This record gives sequence, C-alpha cells and structure tokens, in this order.
Amino acid sequence: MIKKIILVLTMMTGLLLAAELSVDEIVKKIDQAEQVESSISKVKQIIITSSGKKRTLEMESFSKDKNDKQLMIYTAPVRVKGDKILMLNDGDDIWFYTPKTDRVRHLASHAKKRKVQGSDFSYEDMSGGNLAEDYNCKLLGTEKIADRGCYKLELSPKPSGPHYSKLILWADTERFITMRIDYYENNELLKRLTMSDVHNIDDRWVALKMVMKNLLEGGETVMEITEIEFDIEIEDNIFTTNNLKKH
Amino acid sequence: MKQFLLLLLIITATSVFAVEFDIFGYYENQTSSVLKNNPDFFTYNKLRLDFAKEISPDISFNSNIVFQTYHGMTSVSLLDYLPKELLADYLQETGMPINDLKKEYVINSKDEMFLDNAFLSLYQKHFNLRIGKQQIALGTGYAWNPSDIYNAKNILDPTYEKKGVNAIKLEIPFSSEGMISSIVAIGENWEKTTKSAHLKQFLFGYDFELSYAREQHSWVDYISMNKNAEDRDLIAFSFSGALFEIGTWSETAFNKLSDSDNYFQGIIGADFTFENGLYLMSEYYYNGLGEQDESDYQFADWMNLFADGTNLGRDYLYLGESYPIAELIEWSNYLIVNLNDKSFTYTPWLSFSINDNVDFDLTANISYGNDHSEFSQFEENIAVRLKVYF
Repeated sequence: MIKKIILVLTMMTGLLLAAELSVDEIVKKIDQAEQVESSISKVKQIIITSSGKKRTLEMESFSKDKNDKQLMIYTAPVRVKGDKILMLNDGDDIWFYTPKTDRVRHLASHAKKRKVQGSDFSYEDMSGGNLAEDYNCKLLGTEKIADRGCYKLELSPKPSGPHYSKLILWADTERFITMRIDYYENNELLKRLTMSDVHNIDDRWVALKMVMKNLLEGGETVMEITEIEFDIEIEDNIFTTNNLKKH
Repeated sequence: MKQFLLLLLIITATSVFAVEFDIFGYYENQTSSVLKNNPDFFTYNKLRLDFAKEISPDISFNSNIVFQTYHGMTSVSLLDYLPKELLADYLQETGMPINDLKKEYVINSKDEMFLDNAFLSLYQKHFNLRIGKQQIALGTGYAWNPSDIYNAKNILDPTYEKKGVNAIKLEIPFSSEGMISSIVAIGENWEKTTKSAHLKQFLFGYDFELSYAREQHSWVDYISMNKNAEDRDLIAFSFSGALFEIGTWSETAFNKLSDSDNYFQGIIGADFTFENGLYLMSEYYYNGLGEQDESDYQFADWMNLFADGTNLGRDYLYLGESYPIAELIEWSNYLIVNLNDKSFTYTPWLSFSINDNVDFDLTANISYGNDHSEFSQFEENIAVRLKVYF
C-alpha cells in the first residue's frame, strides 16, 4: 500500500513538474545547460565489441560559440594519431583530416551517419546541435533515470536535424542535462546513450561518462571525459579548415 | 648491409635524443602471389620511422625514413606484360633480339632506404609555409586526380600514402574558409621546376578549387630511346559537396602542351552511405590522352601505364562498395572498367582491425578482357598485408 502511495506521489510530482514548464521552456533550459561558450576537454573513448574486444582511443576536444564550432584531435593510438574532425554550423558542415594522406575532406551529409573511427557514435551523434532548432519536441511525461527525476521528451528531427526518425530523450528535471537518449529508425530502437558520473564543474553539471550501446550489433562505446575546462579563450582560427593541416 | 647499419645508427641516435623528438611509425609486410599453376611470390617489408618535433607553437619539423626490403620474384621484365602482337611489332621496329630487349625493360626491386619526408612548417597569422620533402595531395577525385601534377596514382590502391615531393608550399588564408596557395617543386633549374598556384573557397556547402600549374613534361621515344621534353600548362577546377544528401565531386583539367596536342581530363563522382552502413561510390574518368580503340594502344602507352599508371583508354568507370560485415571487419569491393576496350579488374578487399595498432588486409585482383585490352594484362593475384603502428 505504501509503495503504491509513493508511486502515485512520484507520478504526481512528475506531472506537477511537467506542468510547471512548457516543453519549449524545458528544451530551452536543456540547451542552456548543455551549450557552453567554450570548452577544452580530454576524452577517452573505449569501443567494446559484442565479443568483448576493446579498442581505446584518446582525443582532445575544443568547442566554441555554444557548440557551433567543434574540433576533435585524436592523440592515441598511433594508428589514428593526428586525425582531426572539424564541425561547423552546429555540425551541418564536417571536415575530416588525416595526416596519412595530408588531405582534408568535407563529409557529405550522408557520411554523417557513418561510425567515427569504428565507434558506436556517428559523426552526427558527436556534433553539438541545438534541440530547439533541430527537433520538434513533445513532452511525454517524467520518469526516473538513475534515481534522478527526468523529463521524457520525444524529438522528431527537422530537416536540419540528424537522420534518425526519432529520439527519446530524458533530461534531469533540476539540472536540465541529458541523462539518456534512445535513437530510433522506423520505430526500431537502434542505440541507447546513457550518461553517468555527473559532477558540478565551474557551476555546470557535466556527465563525465557516456555509454552508447548499439542495440542491433550488441557492442558499446564508452566515452570518458578525463579533463574539462569551460569558458576559456580559444582563438577562432583553430576552427578553420586551413588550420587542420597544422601539426 | 650499409643501409642496415645506417638504420641502426638512426635508431640509436634517436633513442638518445628521444626526449627531443616524438618518434613513431609503422611496420608493413605485404605478400602477394600470382594465381597460376606455379605461383610466383613477392614480399616486401617496410619499416617507416617518423620523427616529429614542435620547435615552438608556430614552427614544427616532421620527417620519416623508409627502409624497405623485397623478396621473392623481385625481377620482372615489363615486356612479359605486353600483348604478343604489339611486342612482335616493337621487336621488328627496333631490330633487337628479344632477350637483349627484355634486359632493357627489367624492373628490379632492390632493398632501399630513403628519406620520404623531411619538412619544416611555419605557421603565422597571415600565412603558412612548408619547406622540404612533403606529401602533396591535390584534387577531389578518388581513383584519379587529373589536377595533380605532382603525383602518380595507383588505381588499385588509391588511398595509399603518397611519396614526398621536394617542394616549398606557401598558403595564405584570406577568409576562414578561403585560401590561396602556391607550390614550387624544385627541379634542376627554373624551367624544370614544377610550380602551381591554387585558389580554394568553401561556398554554399561546396569546396571549390581553381588551379594553374606548369611543368616541363618529359618522355622517352621508345624507338630511338631519346629523351624529349616540352612545357605543359595545366588549368584545373575541382569541387566537392553534397547534392540532395548524395556526395558529389568533380575535377577537370585542361592541359596545354608546347609541342604536342592539348588534351582534357576530368572526373565526376558520387557516393552515398545507407542507414545500415553500406557505402557505395562511383567515379567516371574521361582521359583525353587515351584511345577509344584498343588497336591504337602504342608501345609507349603501355610503358607509361607501367611507369606512372597513365591509363590507355579514353573512358573509365570506378565502382566501389564497402560494408562492415562484422565489428572491426570491413568488406569492400572495387571494380575498374575500361569502357572502350571492355576490360575490367575486380578487387575484393577485406580489412580487419586485429588490435588498437594492428591492421590486417586480404585482397585480390581478378581481371578480364581480350588479349589486347588494358586490364587483361593485369595478373590475377592475391595479397595479404599486415600493418603494425608503433
């Protein structure tokens, strides 16, 4: 009986929270929480295949103008060291550079669906984007994820958005950061991104661990932020194709 | 032996100064076998050592040394790959016995060690300057780059690293996505120096490039064996971008020669990735230097094909497919068709990531065409390649 009451109260609390803010306000708050003026981070990416084989990559990541500009530079292993990915215009334009051929390639929009360095993240998964601009959003209610109250939103991509048919996103009701995303294609659940290890750094809530589970193939990719700094001066010219060949 | 000692000396020296240099590289082993009753084998071992040093935030030095050994069938005569009738005609014209002539066209793969790249890069607010032996990559084409005056391309492995070119490259950005650049590849004198100027701009989702290049083009008259040279001016235009989500690219080049006939070369390509990861690409190549009729393929054309991959025909189609058949395993298929003589070569390619730094490739070549056609002369073979990065 007590459990039932708690459950009803939890649901009511969720509904009240949902009622307090409109979906547009929630989406705006999520964008505000996740879009930083600038950041520099070091990231470890561990690709785990369905048979348990592991591939570990490391990179330095730079972002500016609320994720409008992003640059990723692979630092390990040697096989991919020096490979760079430049994303501009909220990920609409992506360039890939590899020192092996000293060539910069602009990726066509179809290529954004491709896996980045064999991981379970596609180029468009890695790009910053903007929920309000890239999706039509619908509030489905509230649910708990890892003991945190979350808004559950259905995101239908606009033409400027990614290739998925829809996303279901759970965002923390207090911190407004994403806690989980389910990626769908034709109503089939393809991948699940789960955030954890949430810390407050420089007055911002940040999930330092992200796990992208490939529900079709069975593998997963873990992204761990090992270092991160916010709101620091980054020169604009590092986010240019001209700069990619700089060793 | 001398080369081995030199390599040992470099490794020892760089170990001592390892604090100064970032040292990395790879080891590559490739073994191939011709598919016939008594198969020939050919193996190479390649060790590439890279040395990198950031002298200051604006100045860096990069270099690599390649040490390569060859084993198995290391000596071949190019005449063995010619159509029999063409060879008979050539013997008649030169009047030389075949055994003597064969010796003239023998290619020996000898163990070698060379400085592939060594360049200094200077990055300034208003310009970038790179001086020394460096990779130069021009054009948007996958299998062919008509605008690239500096490199010959192997259509059977078009993404393989290019050899360094001794050059000076100056880049002057004039906007965040626009740049003018110039490359000067040093020759014996100014006439024999290859030079080019390029204007690049990213506009409306497309990368555009306009180029002008000039070189002294040299060739051999295979009857008199005299070397000839003439000036070649090249004007090229290329672009790449997406059209309704389909990747598109094109590269066109007009070549003006001082003595010979001018010619035009161009490619147009498209690619697409499906939701399931299947990747398809195609590229059409118009080769104004080539012949429409296989009976017009001359001895010199074949030698140019063997020397720098200059194709014999006028029209080509390159079709590619790639699909991740399992995690860490990519299965690709490539088909190159000479649309004029109707010959083709098919290359299946299996790539497997063994480890973070170990790649394994299994590939083959299967060719088809009549006796006089271009790809009928390609031997059917199978090859395995192991690459270890360190």
